[in-house]
Amino acid sequence: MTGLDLKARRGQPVTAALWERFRTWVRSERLVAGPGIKIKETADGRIITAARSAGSVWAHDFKVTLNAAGLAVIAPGTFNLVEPQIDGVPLSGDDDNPPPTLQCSLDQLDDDGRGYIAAEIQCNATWGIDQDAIEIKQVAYFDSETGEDPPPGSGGPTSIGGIPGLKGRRVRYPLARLVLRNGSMQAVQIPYFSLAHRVSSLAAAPDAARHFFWSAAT
Amino acid sequence: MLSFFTIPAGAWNKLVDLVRRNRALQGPGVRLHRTPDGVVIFARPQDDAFEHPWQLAPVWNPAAGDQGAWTTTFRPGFVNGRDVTIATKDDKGDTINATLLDDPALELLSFRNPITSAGTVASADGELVFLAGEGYPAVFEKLGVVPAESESGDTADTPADPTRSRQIRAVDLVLDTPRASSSQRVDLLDPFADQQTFTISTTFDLSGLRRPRHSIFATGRWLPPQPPTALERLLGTAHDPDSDQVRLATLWLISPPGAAADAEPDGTWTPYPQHFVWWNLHHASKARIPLTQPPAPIQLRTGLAAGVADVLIASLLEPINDSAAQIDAYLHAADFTGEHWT
Repeated sequence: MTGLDLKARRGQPVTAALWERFRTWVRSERLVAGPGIKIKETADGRIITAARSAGSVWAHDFKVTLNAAGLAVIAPGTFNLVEPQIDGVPLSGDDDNPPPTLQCSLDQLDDDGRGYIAAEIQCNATWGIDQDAIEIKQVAYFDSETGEDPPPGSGGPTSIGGIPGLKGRRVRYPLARLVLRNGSMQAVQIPYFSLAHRVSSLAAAPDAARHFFWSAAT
Repeated sequence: MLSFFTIPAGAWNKLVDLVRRNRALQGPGVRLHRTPDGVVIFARPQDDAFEHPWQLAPVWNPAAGDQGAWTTTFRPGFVNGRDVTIATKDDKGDTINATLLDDPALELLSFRNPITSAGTVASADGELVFLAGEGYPAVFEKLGVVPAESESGDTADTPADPTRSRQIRAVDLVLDTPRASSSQRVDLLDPFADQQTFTISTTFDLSGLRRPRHSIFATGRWLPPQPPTALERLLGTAHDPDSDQVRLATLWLISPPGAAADAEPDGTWTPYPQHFVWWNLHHASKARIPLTQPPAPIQLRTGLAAGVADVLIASLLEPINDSAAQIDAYLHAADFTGEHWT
């Protein structure tokens, strides 16, 4: 009902039926607060507030939050159930330390003003991941030290897929793309889940491998 | 004793207008549910605002093309952590490959009509069979889209339904990852001599790798690249596609009611993206390269009967050598097939 049909002409009586329709319409237009809504009545009107519930923001694994000062907070996540660290402190913190932060710098972006927040994984002799073997870093490139392709120790050119390794049985997995916009860094999220990891190593070059990751439940 | 008051019509109407002005109307971030006892206000769940990789943001751009065009931007997505590009035009009108991080717009120039028949085919009995229209998600029926054509050549069950008069078009958005490819080739060698006459060789094609590593394109109807069949590999005629592709989304466009059957989408149409991929992707190619040489043909040289026996023996061995070449080509065929995964 829009109310237009309740308009009266001059001389038209306000009958009980018309009044009842008007009353029904007014009642149907009352405002009722549903979930997440707060209505405060004042002398000047009603203030409607949409509350943002705590559960409405998805705090997923490895969620990167970057503030204006370049300080990054990274939500906990795991690679093969191993939690990365920042300066030796696990992402979820420990008994002695709160969850750590990563200070990002414009100096570490590449020439195009791009970079990554990446997890650098040090694989062991059997290409497994030991505890304390993953460190979060800001890097200009994640699949090579300097941007060359294929990087030394990579297990092949990047065009064949997977993620190439770095020298010394290392590999970096990008957690967020850093983009310089209007003089400040912004982070674009890459993974949303914890990850599993395996390698395809080369018989001819035992320390080189292609690395494969896939989303895995924690 | 009853007393009566006169309410002027103007005062009554002001009262109606007052209530009307104070009606609740739905705005962004809010959902209204009207009941006889009032209007219940819901905050839209935050999930509605979840922006995922590859998410489309289609808009009608009146400045694009000759008479305007539908374009779309994408929320940045990554493959193996690498940027993905689309071909677009820069300020000078030159075609460039811009990364999704730069928020480029992809022009959508080709649409398919899922209402009309896909054509006619001949049956085994020699009859012409009219193929049904592709159809569309059921939700668009409720929005009043005309029914798709049935196999009888008519629109489906309710062709005269006056509430279903809107047209629909679709375009697929596809992620393309180039890779090396290979082709097998059959050579007949010295068919008149007493040597092997049949070899299968493999050539490699790296030209696809000159294209952008990961890019998105739009096409009216996407057909996945077809890998060679086992029979083609066995016969030595296999051609490997030079890219792996995955359909990210289909953009459906719905016309206003009463549009003509051959209407082209313009700014009055409403876009409805249907996403198939919500997360960033990984990709890898099998990169299987045959490391062995083809088997040498079996030969038996006896010199009997002034060499005439050698020719006879070679002709007897020829089918065996041909089969060996075929089997070797099948077992050791190059395979660069790749996969995308999350």
